[in-house]
Amino acid sequence: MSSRNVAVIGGGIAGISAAIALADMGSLVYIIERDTQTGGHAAGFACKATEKCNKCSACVADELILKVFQYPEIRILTGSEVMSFSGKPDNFRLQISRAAKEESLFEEVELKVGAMVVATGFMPFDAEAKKEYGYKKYKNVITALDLERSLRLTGKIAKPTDGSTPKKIAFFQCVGSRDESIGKGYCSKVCCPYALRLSKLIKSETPESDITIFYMDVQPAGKGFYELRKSCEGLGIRFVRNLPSKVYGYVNSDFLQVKSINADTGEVILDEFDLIVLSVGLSPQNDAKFLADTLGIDQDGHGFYRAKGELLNCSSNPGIFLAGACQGPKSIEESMAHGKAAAAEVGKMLRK
Amino acid sequence: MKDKISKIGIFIYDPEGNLGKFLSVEAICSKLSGLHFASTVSSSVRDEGLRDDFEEFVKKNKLSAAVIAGYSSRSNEKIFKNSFKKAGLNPYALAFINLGEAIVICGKKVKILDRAVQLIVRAARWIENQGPIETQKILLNRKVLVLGGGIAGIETALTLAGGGLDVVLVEGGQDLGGEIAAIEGLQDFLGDKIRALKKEEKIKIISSSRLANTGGHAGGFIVKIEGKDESVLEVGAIVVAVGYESIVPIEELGENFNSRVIGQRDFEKRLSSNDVPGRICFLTDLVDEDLKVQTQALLRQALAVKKEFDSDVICLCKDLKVSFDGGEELYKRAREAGVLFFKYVEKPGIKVLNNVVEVSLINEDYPHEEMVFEADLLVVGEKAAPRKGFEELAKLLSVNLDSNGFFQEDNVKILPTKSSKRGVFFVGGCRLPQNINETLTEARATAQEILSFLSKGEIELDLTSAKINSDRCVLCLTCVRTCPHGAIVVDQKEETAKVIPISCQSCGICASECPVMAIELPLYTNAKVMGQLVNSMAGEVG
Repeated sequence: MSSRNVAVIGGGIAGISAAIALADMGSLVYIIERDTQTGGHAAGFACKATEKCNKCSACVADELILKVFQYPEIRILTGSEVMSFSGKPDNFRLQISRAAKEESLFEEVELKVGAMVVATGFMPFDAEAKKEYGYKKYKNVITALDLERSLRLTGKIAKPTDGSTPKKIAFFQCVGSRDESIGKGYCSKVCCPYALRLSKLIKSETPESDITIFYMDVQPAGKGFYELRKSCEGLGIRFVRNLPSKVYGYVNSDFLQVKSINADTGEVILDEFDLIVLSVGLSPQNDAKFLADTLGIDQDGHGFYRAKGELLNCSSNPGIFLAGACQGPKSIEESMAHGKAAAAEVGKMLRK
Repeated sequence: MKDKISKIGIFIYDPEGNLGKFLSVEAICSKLSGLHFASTVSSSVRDEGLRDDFEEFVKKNKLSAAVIAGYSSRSNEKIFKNSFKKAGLNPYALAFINLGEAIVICGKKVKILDRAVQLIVRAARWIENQGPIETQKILLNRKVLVLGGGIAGIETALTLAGGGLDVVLVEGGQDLGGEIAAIEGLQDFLGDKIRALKKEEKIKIISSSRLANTGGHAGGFIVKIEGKDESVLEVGAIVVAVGYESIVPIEELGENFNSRVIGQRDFEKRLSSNDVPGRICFLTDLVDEDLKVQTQALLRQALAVKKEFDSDVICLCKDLKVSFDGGEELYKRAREAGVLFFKYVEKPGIKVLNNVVEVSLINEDYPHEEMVFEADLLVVGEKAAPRKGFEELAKLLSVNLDSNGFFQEDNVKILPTKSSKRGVFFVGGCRLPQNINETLTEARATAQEILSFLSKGEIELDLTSAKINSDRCVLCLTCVRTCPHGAIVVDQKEETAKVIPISCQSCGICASECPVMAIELPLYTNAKVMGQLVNSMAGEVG
């Protein structure tokens, strides 16, 4: 007997979108989430609306999480991880290790499912690996993700050293993207749009702040992106096509100096900033290989799960489908669409 | 007709025991004088446990209304509503309040208790004003109309058919395939897709035809197809996948546009007929746009030229837009093969003399020297433009176009392909020209959205949609014009405007705009809102 049950590994935006679409089609869906709650990275993003919505999609995560709870057909297993796996399409067996109610105890759960959707998402690039930028060494060098979190929790931007409002802010693009020296030969797609939206938000809230975006190429993202860029330029945000080579500073001090090249004169310049925001890219999960080995699916050269040809949701193992950023960098709306597309592929298989 | 509610259930939902730290049910209940109620606390974690607790509570106390109080009680709304529906009760006689709010906003225990009691009492009074909401069963036609036989339309149709729905695919021209039919290397892929499409029994293809008229609503559109034959169909959803026009930005080139200067699509033809000169210059980003398809075509063609013909290849662009799958790798391979890239800020100068194109630009990098390149052929990046019939089609479907003339999605955050009108979707280049992978994903996601909507074949609607009082309506058409969802039509026979419940999103714009106050939302009638206001003032003013 084939099973119409589906396991979705990962309860981020892509996983939830796939699960909802599958539940709509009458499947019983298990979301296997290793965190204590669903929503993934997007659940920690801040709304970046200024005088109008800038379409950052951060609010969508909150709405989706509420929505997924309204489906009795979706069982959310938080604190769970896949331990082992066997069987064939239509008849998979999954061993799940699940955190029991009492802490530090785990219980084993076995699920029988007809198909699986892998939606394990991404890891933000570990900015410490770019030693020259001094992340973690200098407190006022933060990642865009840190900025998102602090904006979401406190609603304002502050220097980590003393909590004051930074006046001069730099965004460094392509930290962990398009960089062969650290083995990241791909564009993460999302960093340009989020850096532009964040800088627009900061500039709108504190017009006296001086913002510079150091970039390589500005990557478009969807409709209306060109207008967003124009509005950033109109607000007085500086765009400098030049990635800084080094950040100088002192531990426990808020002094930060950025070494870059003046595009007009060709001279090396040292410029002081109050806050440096590293626009970190999307990397595969640290343990992406473990899951790939467990499930018998292929990874690409960068460690993302490989999709089969033009079948963007099919992994190399039949019956196992891919959704979201685990297959390659994706924005929130792309992840949602990819999740739904995965559900369509699952549906096609289960109906046969 | 309002049923006065005799007894109200107060269901406190506290799975993690957090509320219990701040509030005791006994204390709350002791303060609810003047309210006829029953109360209980459930600590079950969602799903079955919670549902069983609630159903037992309702049954035992013979309840017909309840206040659900918890930290995030809304998240389980569906469970409570379903339980009420199952028991034949009015699911709108349920109020959800967030006691967490009382705890966070107040702070001292006694104040928390007062606030909690206040919230519960207000919610209870609000329910008393809630009459039942009617429901309506609407049959959904399980057939979908797909307009456009490009890759977006083909993939949407295949996914819909794979999901068990019938599809009618209408293509304006003779052949299927659209934009990508001209791209070398995608022909096998496209051929396979078209074969699969033609083999699929659930898909009917009508070529050389167009949409001539539409009526009806989501789940039951009546569409008229014109072409060789005329036909009238009933379909449940409409997918617009009519593509876009790719044009050479002639106005940016001025008088220099001649046979030595061609667009990317013309160059594609030259590539496949091996008609490639020795020195080629590519020039993109003459028109600023949101798209990366130009850069993708540039990289693909530059690499192909370099590899197959070993021509000298120079690429001039503003930004290298590599944010597509494999983009950076393609860029790297092109550089490694010997393709040269230069970035410009000011538009390059173009001169054509004696069959040689001379391109001069100021290099963006220091020392900003002027560079002059000679080439036998200048290939210009093409910009995307809307097709001619877009305006007419948008009017037919009562959907909107954006400032550039492409189809305007309703809300990019929910599903970028949903239009403002329920049941009408946009896929592919007619909304936003994207690369093939993105288009395929979008097509499948849209098909899935339609499958979720139509597969059951019927839908039970709660009639929370706007209601027009036909006695008051003077047919001024204000509501018809202001409705962003095309949900209001004119009923000629009854001489009144009418709301189509399935299209209405209960946004309330018509209700607030109607000059004769003939429109109300059933959940927020004037009487109900006033009642709520009076209730909430009672504690404070009196």
